[in-house]
Amino acid sequence: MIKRLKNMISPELSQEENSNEVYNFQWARKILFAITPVWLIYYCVEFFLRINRPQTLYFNKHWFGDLFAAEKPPLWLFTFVVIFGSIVSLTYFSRSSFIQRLICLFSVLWVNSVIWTTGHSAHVAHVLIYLHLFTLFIPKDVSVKNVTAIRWSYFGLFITYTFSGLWKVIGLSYKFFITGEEMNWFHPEAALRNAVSGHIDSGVSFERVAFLFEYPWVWQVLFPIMMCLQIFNFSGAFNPSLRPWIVIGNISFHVVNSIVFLISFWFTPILLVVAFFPYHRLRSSS
Amino acid sequence: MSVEAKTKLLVYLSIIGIILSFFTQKIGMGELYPFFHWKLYSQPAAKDSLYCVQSIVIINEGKAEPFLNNGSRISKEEYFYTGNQLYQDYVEFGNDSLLKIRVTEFGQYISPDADCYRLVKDCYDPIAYSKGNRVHKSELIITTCD
Repeated sequence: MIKRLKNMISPELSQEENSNEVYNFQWARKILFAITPVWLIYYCVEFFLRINRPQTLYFNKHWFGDLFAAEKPPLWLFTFVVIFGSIVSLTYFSRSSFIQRLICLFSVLWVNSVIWTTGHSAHVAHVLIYLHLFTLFIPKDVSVKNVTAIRWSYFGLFITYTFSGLWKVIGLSYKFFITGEEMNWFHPEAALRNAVSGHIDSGVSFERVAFLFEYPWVWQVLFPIMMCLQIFNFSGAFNPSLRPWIVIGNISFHVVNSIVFLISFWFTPILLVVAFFPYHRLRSSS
Repeated sequence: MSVEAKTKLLVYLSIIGIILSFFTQKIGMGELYPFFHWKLYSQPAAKDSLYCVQSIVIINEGKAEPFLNNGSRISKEEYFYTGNQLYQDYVEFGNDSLLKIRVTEFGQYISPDADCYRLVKDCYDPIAYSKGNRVHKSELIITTCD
């Protein structure tokens, strides 16, 4: 039983499967470094639109921000980080070093942390940041001997979702056993209440999605499915045949959240496709 | 140290960062590791609770005007987020004069020509709201119209 479970999470893979993994990783990484400047420039435009936002409304949320962007940076500095980060990102196509990758990670995190203070699309870059972070030590010229490191980098990203699933289990257990509160994710009104609050926050009319809540049981069924998907996200890291299902599940989760609950994750599905597209299939068909 | 070992170490540090951030957040020290603001973690509000948002109201010639998003200055997301942050800081530190300064500055940022501004808390019943009933309880937190 334990052996079967272990085999499901981390199966023995053939040489061909390992080389496909490396091939896919190389392509994903090329696209990642190509789109990073697009993201940085988009955030530069957002910063420019908020150039008159007063310093007293600068709400820092984490220690990285406290350390590197404790106050609202001047426009020249923000623009410099964006341009420098973009150029360094594009140098990946000639050569790549640890320092080059570290500068990219720092630029993305720093720029995100400044825009974060305004609350605008604060959360949509988590996959971008984690992809840069967990591949920091993986060299440009990857070979089959790096395949375990590649899978560990996937594990770092997927475990974020696993934690978010566990978070919901903890929340549920707390409500069931400790506070005895009636509202939890299995309650027929739970999804509706969440969707309404999302619409109030965004100032968007709720009528557009009201019909989706006519049958509350749909959400009561979807919720445990989504919770299981999140908890078992980690299993996609070392098993390439499970991975597409996990990624499709995550993309669906983000799309539903963006459309129905108005928790916009518009950039996240794009990045998940970039990171996990089976590029090797295009190679074999061509 | 091999590439694999270093990547593994990063993942372990990330997991430790996530767990420690939970506690640093709880004791009001902010996030140690950028994690909890990714909006992947939500819990539905209690059954009888109302959903409340804090926002700035623009006052012109004694009349309240709704915030209009003309696309030039601020998104609705940012508008509600900022109102909420102002309120949360106020609840935490209880500093009336700082709140007044911030409300004025935020008001002037989104609508510089208005006479004065109010920070209000609007509470909705989510179920009634979903049926089209937008009636809500409004509470004044602070006003700059003195």
